[in-house]
Amino acid sequence: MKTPTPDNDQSMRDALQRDAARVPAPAFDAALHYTTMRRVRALADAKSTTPRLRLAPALAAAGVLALCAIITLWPPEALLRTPRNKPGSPLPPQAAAPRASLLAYQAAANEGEAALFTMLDRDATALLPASSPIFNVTLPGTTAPDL
Amino acid sequence: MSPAPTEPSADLLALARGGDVAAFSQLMEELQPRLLGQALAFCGDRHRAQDLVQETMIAAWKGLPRFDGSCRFFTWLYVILLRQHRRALGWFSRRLPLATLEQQAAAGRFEPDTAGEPQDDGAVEAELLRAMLTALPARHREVVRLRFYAEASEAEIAAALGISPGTVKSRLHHALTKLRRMKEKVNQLRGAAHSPTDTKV
Repeated sequence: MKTPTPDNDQSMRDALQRDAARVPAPAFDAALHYTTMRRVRALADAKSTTPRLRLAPALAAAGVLALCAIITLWPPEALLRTPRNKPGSPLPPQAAAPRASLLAYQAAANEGEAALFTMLDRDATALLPASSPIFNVTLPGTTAPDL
Repeated sequence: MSPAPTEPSADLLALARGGDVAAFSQLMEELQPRLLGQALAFCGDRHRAQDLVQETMIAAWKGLPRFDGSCRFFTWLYVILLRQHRRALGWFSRRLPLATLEQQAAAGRFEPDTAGEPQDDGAVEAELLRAMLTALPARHREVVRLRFYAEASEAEIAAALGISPGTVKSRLHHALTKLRRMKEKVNQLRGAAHSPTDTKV
Protein backbone atom coordinates (compact mmCIF):
# COMPACT_ATOMS: atom_id res chain seq x y z
CA MET A 1 0.00 0.00 0.00
CA LYS A 2 1.26 3.44 -0.87
CA THR A 3 2.19 5.44 2.21
CA PRO A 4 0.68 8.90 2.03
CA THR A 5 2.76 11.98 2.51
CA PRO A 6 1.31 14.21 5.22
CA ASP A 7 1.33 17.23 2.89
CA ASN A 8 -1.20 15.62 0.56
CA ASP A 9 -3.86 15.66 3.26
CA GLN A 10 -2.79 18.85 4.99
CA SER A 11 -5.18 21.02 3.01
CA MET A 12 -8.07 18.79 4.04
CA ARG A 13 -6.92 18.78 7.64
CA ASP A 14 -6.83 22.58 7.61
CA ALA A 15 -10.26 22.77 6.01
CA LEU A 16 -11.73 20.41 8.61
CA GLN A 17 -10.13 22.35 11.45
CA ARG A 18 -11.54 25.58 10.07
CA ASP A 19 -14.98 24.01 9.81
CA ALA A 20 -14.77 22.61 13.33
CA ALA A 21 -13.92 26.09 14.56
CA ARG A 22 -17.08 27.38 12.92
CA VAL A 23 -19.31 25.02 14.88
CA PRO A 24 -21.16 27.28 17.31
CA ALA A 25 -21.40 26.62 21.02
CA PRO A 26 -24.94 27.75 21.84
CA ALA A 27 -25.95 28.99 25.26
CA PHE A 28 -26.88 26.46 27.93
CA ASP A 29 -30.41 25.23 27.25
CA ALA A 30 -32.05 25.08 30.68
CA ALA A 31 -35.34 23.62 29.44
CA LEU A 32 -33.54 20.81 27.63
CA HIS A 33 -31.43 20.13 30.70
CA TYR A 34 -34.48 20.07 32.98
CA THR A 35 -36.39 17.70 30.70
CA THR A 36 -33.45 15.37 30.32
CA MET A 37 -32.66 15.28 34.03
CA ARG A 38 -36.29 14.50 34.79
CA ARG A 39 -35.97 11.43 32.58
CA VAL A 40 -32.64 10.54 34.17
CA ARG A 41 -34.17 10.77 37.68
CA ALA A 42 -37.05 8.55 36.58
CA LEU A 43 -34.52 6.02 35.34
CA ALA A 44 -32.55 6.24 38.56
CA ASP A 45 -35.73 5.73 40.63
CA ALA A 46 -36.73 2.77 38.48
CA LYS A 47 -33.28 1.28 38.99
CA SER A 48 -33.54 1.59 42.77
CA THR A 49 -36.79 -0.40 42.74
CA THR A 50 -35.49 -2.98 40.32
CA PRO A 51 -34.93 -5.83 42.85
CA ARG A 52 -38.60 -5.73 43.86
CA LEU A 53 -39.76 -5.48 40.28
CA ARG A 54 -37.62 -8.40 39.27
CA LEU A 55 -39.66 -10.60 41.62
CA ALA A 56 -42.76 -10.10 39.52
CA PRO A 57 -41.50 -11.94 36.42
CA ALA A 58 -39.96 -14.63 38.63
CA LEU A 59 -43.27 -15.19 40.39
CA ALA A 60 -45.15 -15.21 37.11
CA ALA A 61 -42.74 -17.79 35.71
CA ALA A 62 -43.13 -19.94 38.84
CA GLY A 63 -46.92 -19.73 38.51
CA VAL A 64 -46.79 -20.80 34.88
CA LEU A 65 -44.52 -23.73 35.78
CA ALA A 66 -46.84 -24.81 38.58
CA LEU A 67 -49.82 -24.64 36.23
CA CYS A 68 -47.97 -26.73 33.65
CA ALA A 69 -47.11 -29.30 36.32
CA ILE A 70 -50.73 -29.53 37.47
CA ILE A 71 -51.97 -29.97 33.92
CA THR A 72 -49.35 -32.64 33.24
CA LEU A 73 -49.92 -34.62 36.45
CA TRP A 74 -53.69 -34.32 36.52
CA PRO A 75 -55.07 -36.36 33.61
CA PRO A 76 -57.64 -34.48 31.64
CA GLU A 77 -59.97 -37.50 31.91
CA ALA A 78 -60.36 -36.69 35.55
CA LEU A 79 -61.47 -33.16 34.68
CA LEU A 80 -63.87 -34.37 32.01
CA ARG A 81 -65.13 -37.46 33.79
CA THR A 82 -68.90 -37.77 33.61
CA PRO A 83 -71.07 -40.80 34.34
CA ARG A 84 -71.43 -42.76 31.16
CA ASN A 85 -73.32 -45.94 30.39
CA LYS A 86 -71.75 -48.65 28.40
CA PRO A 87 -73.89 -49.86 25.53
CA GLY A 88 -76.29 -52.54 26.73
CA SER A 89 -75.94 -51.77 30.41
CA PRO A 90 -79.18 -51.20 32.36
CA LEU A 91 -80.28 -47.63 32.83
CA PRO A 92 -79.67 -46.23 36.28
CA PRO A 93 -82.71 -45.96 38.50
CA GLN A 94 -84.53 -42.73 37.91
CA ALA A 95 -85.60 -40.56 40.76
CA ALA A 96 -89.07 -41.39 41.93
CA ALA A 97 -91.45 -39.32 39.95
CA PRO A 98 -94.69 -38.14 41.37
CA ARG A 99 -96.92 -41.06 41.20
CA ALA A 100 -99.94 -39.34 39.78
CA SER A 101 -100.88 -36.01 38.39
CA LEU A 102 -103.79 -33.93 39.47
CA LEU A 103 -105.68 -35.13 36.42
CA ALA A 104 -105.06 -38.75 37.43
CA TYR A 105 -106.46 -38.04 40.89
CA GLN A 106 -109.50 -36.39 39.33
CA ALA A 107 -110.01 -39.41 37.11
CA ALA A 108 -109.64 -41.76 40.10
CA ALA A 109 -112.10 -39.69 42.13
CA ASN A 110 -114.58 -39.94 39.29
CA GLU A 111 -114.19 -43.69 39.33
CA GLY A 112 -115.01 -43.89 42.98
CA GLU A 113 -113.53 -43.67 46.44
CA ALA A 114 -111.87 -47.05 46.26
CA ALA A 115 -109.86 -46.09 43.22
CA LEU A 116 -108.92 -42.76 44.78
CA PHE A 117 -107.78 -44.37 48.06
CA THR A 118 -105.84 -47.01 46.17
CA MET A 119 -103.99 -44.30 44.34
CA LEU A 120 -103.41 -42.35 47.53
CA ASP A 121 -102.10 -45.50 49.22
CA ARG A 122 -99.77 -46.20 46.39
CA ASP A 123 -98.34 -42.67 46.38
CA ALA A 124 -98.10 -42.54 50.15
CA THR A 125 -96.18 -45.80 50.12
CA ALA A 126 -93.78 -44.36 47.60
CA LEU A 127 -93.38 -41.00 49.25
CA LEU A 128 -93.53 -41.66 53.00
CA PRO A 129 -91.48 -43.99 55.21
CA ALA A 130 -93.11 -47.25 56.26
CA SER A 131 -93.08 -46.14 59.91
CA SER A 132 -95.27 -43.14 59.13
CA PRO A 133 -98.34 -43.13 61.46
CA ILE A 134 -100.55 -42.50 58.49
CA PHE A 135 -100.30 -46.17 57.59
CA ASN A 136 -101.78 -47.16 60.93
CA VAL A 137 -104.88 -45.05 60.46
CA THR A 138 -107.85 -46.89 59.21
CA LEU A 139 -109.89 -44.87 56.85
CA PRO A 140 -113.62 -44.97 57.30
CA GLY A 141 -115.21 -47.80 55.36
CA THR A 142 -111.83 -49.54 54.71
CA THR A 143 -109.76 -52.19 56.38
CA ALA A 144 -106.26 -51.56 57.76
CA PRO A 145 -103.62 -52.01 55.10
CA ASP A 146 -101.35 -55.00 55.28
CA LEU A 147 -97.83 -53.58 55.56
CA MET B 1 -15.44 29.42 17.67
CA SER B 2 -16.26 26.54 19.93
CA PRO B 3 -14.35 26.50 23.20
CA ALA B 4 -11.63 23.95 23.78
CA PRO B 5 -13.05 20.84 25.42
CA THR B 6 -12.48 20.76 29.12
CA GLU B 7 -12.43 17.58 31.08
CA PRO B 8 -14.74 17.44 34.08
CA SER B 9 -13.22 16.77 37.46
CA ALA B 10 -12.42 13.17 38.29
CA ASP B 11 -14.38 13.42 41.54
CA LEU B 12 -17.51 14.56 39.75
CA LEU B 13 -17.14 11.77 37.22
CA ALA B 14 -16.62 9.19 39.94
CA LEU B 15 -19.76 10.38 41.76
CA ALA B 16 -21.80 10.29 38.57
CA ARG B 17 -20.52 6.82 37.73
CA GLY B 18 -21.63 5.72 41.18
CA GLY B 19 -25.20 6.74 40.36
CA ASP B 20 -25.22 10.27 41.78
CA VAL B 21 -27.84 12.08 39.71
CA ALA B 22 -26.81 15.51 40.99
CA ALA B 23 -23.21 14.94 39.91
CA PHE B 24 -24.39 13.76 36.50
CA SER B 25 -26.58 16.84 36.21
CA GLN B 26 -23.58 19.07 36.95
CA LEU B 27 -21.50 17.22 34.35
CA MET B 28 -24.16 17.69 31.73
CA GLU B 29 -24.55 21.36 32.56
CA GLU B 30 -20.89 21.82 31.68
CA LEU B 31 -20.93 19.79 28.47
CA GLN B 32 -24.42 20.41 27.11
CA PRO B 33 -23.66 23.60 25.10
CA ARG B 34 -20.79 21.94 23.28
CA LEU B 35 -22.82 18.81 22.61
CA LEU B 36 -25.73 20.91 21.39
CA GLY B 37 -23.44 22.84 19.04
CA GLN B 38 -22.19 19.61 17.49
CA ALA B 39 -25.72 18.24 17.25
CA LEU B 40 -26.80 21.44 15.49
CA ALA B 41 -23.96 20.98 13.03
CA PHE B 42 -25.16 17.44 12.29
CA CYS B 43 -28.87 18.16 12.11
CA GLY B 44 -29.09 21.79 11.06
CA ASP B 45 -32.35 21.98 13.01
CA ARG B 46 -32.63 23.06 16.62
CA HIS B 47 -35.47 20.74 17.65
CA ARG B 48 -33.81 17.68 16.19
CA ALA B 49 -30.53 18.73 17.77
CA GLN B 50 -32.24 19.05 21.17
CA ASP B 51 -33.75 15.58 20.79
CA LEU B 52 -30.39 14.20 19.81
CA VAL B 53 -28.67 15.75 22.83
CA GLN B 54 -31.40 14.47 25.13
CA GLU B 55 -31.09 10.91 23.84
CA THR B 56 -27.31 11.17 24.08
CA MET B 57 -27.50 12.25 27.71
CA ILE B 58 -29.93 9.44 28.56
CA ALA B 59 -27.69 6.88 26.84
CA ALA B 60 -24.69 8.37 28.67
CA TRP B 61 -26.45 7.95 32.02
CA LYS B 62 -27.27 4.34 31.24
CA GLY B 63 -23.76 3.58 29.98
CA LEU B 64 -21.83 5.61 32.53
CA PRO B 65 -20.78 2.61 34.65
CA ARG B 66 -19.03 1.28 31.55
CA PHE B 67 -16.96 4.45 31.06
CA ASP B 68 -13.44 3.35 32.00
CA GLY B 69 -11.58 6.66 31.60
CA SER B 70 -9.45 5.41 28.71
CA CYS B 71 -10.49 8.49 26.73
CA ARG B 72 -11.76 11.92 27.67
CA PHE B 73 -15.33 12.00 28.86
CA PHE B 74 -16.32 14.36 26.06
CA THR B 75 -14.85 11.99 23.46
CA TRP B 76 -16.89 9.17 24.96
CA LEU B 77 -20.01 11.37 24.88
CA TYR B 78 -19.27 12.39 21.32
CA VAL B 79 -19.19 8.76 20.22
CA ILE B 80 -22.63 8.31 21.78
CA LEU B 81 -23.83 11.46 20.00
CA LEU B 82 -22.58 10.14 16.66
CA ARG B 83 -24.23 6.78 17.16
CA GLN B 84 -27.51 8.28 18.35
CA HIS B 85 -27.49 10.48 15.28
CA ARG B 86 -26.88 7.50 13.02
CA ARG B 87 -29.65 5.58 14.77
CA ALA B 88 -32.05 8.51 14.49
CA LEU B 89 -31.41 8.77 10.79
CA GLY B 90 -31.83 5.04 10.26
CA TRP B 91 -31.75 4.23 6.61
CA PHE B 92 -30.89 7.83 5.78
CA SER B 93 -27.61 7.54 7.68
CA ARG B 94 -26.24 5.69 4.68
CA ARG B 95 -23.68 7.77 2.95
CA LEU B 96 -24.66 10.20 0.25
CA PRO B 97 -23.79 8.70 -3.12
CA LEU B 98 -20.77 10.46 -4.55
CA ALA B 99 -22.62 10.91 -7.83
CA THR B 100 -25.24 12.99 -6.00
CA LEU B 101 -22.55 15.24 -4.59
CA GLU B 102 -21.05 15.64 -8.04
CA GLN B 103 -24.44 16.41 -9.55
CA GLN B 104 -25.02 19.02 -6.85
CA ALA B 105 -21.62 20.58 -7.54
CA ALA B 106 -22.26 20.59 -11.29
CA ALA B 107 -25.62 22.26 -10.69
CA GLY B 108 -23.87 25.07 -8.83
CA ARG B 109 -25.22 24.18 -5.42
CA PHE B 110 -21.91 24.99 -3.77
CA GLU B 111 -21.51 28.43 -5.34
CA PRO B 112 -21.89 31.75 -3.53
CA ASP B 113 -25.38 33.07 -4.17
CA THR B 114 -24.67 36.14 -6.30
CA ALA B 115 -28.32 36.82 -7.07
CA GLY B 116 -29.54 37.11 -3.50
CA GLU B 117 -27.81 38.35 -0.41
CA PRO B 118 -24.03 38.18 -0.48
CA GLN B 119 -23.08 34.86 1.03
CA ASP B 120 -19.99 34.13 3.06
CA ASP B 121 -17.54 32.08 0.99
CA GLY B 122 -16.55 30.27 4.18
CA ALA B 123 -20.16 29.19 4.72
CA VAL B 124 -20.34 27.81 1.20
CA GLU B 125 -17.10 25.94 1.69
CA ALA B 126 -18.37 24.62 5.03
CA GLU B 127 -21.55 23.40 3.36
CA LEU B 128 -19.50 21.67 0.69
CA LEU B 129 -17.23 20.10 3.28
CA ARG B 130 -20.19 18.79 5.30
CA ALA B 131 -21.78 17.41 2.16
CA MET B 132 -18.51 15.68 1.36
CA LEU B 133 -18.42 14.26 4.88
CA THR B 134 -21.84 12.70 4.37
CA ALA B 135 -20.48 11.02 1.25
CA LEU B 136 -17.86 9.21 3.33
CA PRO B 137 -18.49 5.70 4.65
CA ALA B 138 -19.81 5.85 8.22
CA ARG B 139 -16.69 4.37 9.79
CA HIS B 140 -14.51 7.00 8.09
CA ARG B 141 -16.88 9.82 8.89
CA GLU B 142 -16.90 8.81 12.55
CA VAL B 143 -13.12 8.99 12.80
CA VAL B 144 -12.93 12.33 11.01
CA ARG B 145 -15.57 13.86 13.25
CA LEU B 146 -13.88 12.59 16.37
CA ARG B 147 -10.46 13.76 15.25
CA PHE B 148 -11.35 17.24 14.05
CA TYR B 149 -14.66 18.17 15.66
CA ALA B 150 -14.19 16.52 19.06
CA GLU B 151 -10.43 17.20 18.97
CA ALA B 152 -9.67 13.68 20.11
CA SER B 153 -6.24 12.16 19.65
CA GLU B 154 -5.83 9.00 17.59
CA ALA B 155 -5.18 6.99 20.74
CA GLU B 156 -8.33 8.37 22.31
CA ILE B 157 -10.40 7.58 19.23
CA ALA B 158 -9.03 4.04 19.29
CA ALA B 159 -10.03 3.65 22.94
CA ALA B 160 -13.47 5.21 22.45
CA LEU B 161 -14.30 3.09 19.40
CA GLY B 162 -12.64 -0.08 20.67
CA ILE B 163 -10.35 -0.37 17.65
CA SER B 164 -6.57 -0.32 17.32
CA PRO B 165 -4.66 2.97 16.85
CA GLY B 166 -3.40 1.58 13.53
CA THR B 167 -6.97 1.19 12.31
CA VAL B 168 -7.74 4.75 13.36
CA LYS B 169 -4.71 6.02 11.46
CA SER B 170 -5.66 4.00 8.40
CA ARG B 171 -9.31 5.12 8.45
CA LEU B 172 -8.28 8.73 8.91
CA HIS B 173 -5.88 8.53 6.03
CA HIS B 174 -8.44 6.94 3.71
CA ALA B 175 -11.05 9.46 4.78
CA LEU B 176 -8.78 12.43 4.11
CA THR B 177 -7.72 11.03 0.77
CA LYS B 178 -11.33 10.51 -0.26
CA LEU B 179 -12.24 14.01 0.88
CA ARG B 180 -9.33 15.48 -1.06
CA ARG B 181 -10.32 13.63 -4.22
CA MET B 182 -13.93 14.69 -3.83
CA LYS B 183 -12.79 18.27 -3.42
CA GLU B 184 -10.69 18.06 -6.56
CA LYS B 185 -13.58 16.59 -8.51
CA VAL B 186 -15.99 19.21 -7.24
CA ASN B 187 -13.54 21.99 -8.10
CA GLN B 188 -13.20 20.52 -11.56
CA LEU B 189 -16.97 20.49 -11.98
CA ARG B 190 -17.23 24.04 -10.68
CA GLY B 191 -14.57 25.17 -13.14
CA ALA B 192 -16.44 23.46 -15.93
CA ALA B 193 -19.66 25.14 -14.88
CA HIS B 194 -17.99 28.59 -14.95
CA SER B 195 -16.34 28.14 -18.36
CA PRO B 196 -18.60 25.95 -20.46
CA THR B 197 -16.49 26.42 -23.59
CA ASP B 198 -13.44 24.89 -21.91
CA THR B 199 -15.28 21.87 -20.61
CA LYS B 200 -13.14 18.80 -20.50
CA VAL B 201 -14.49 15.40 -19.58
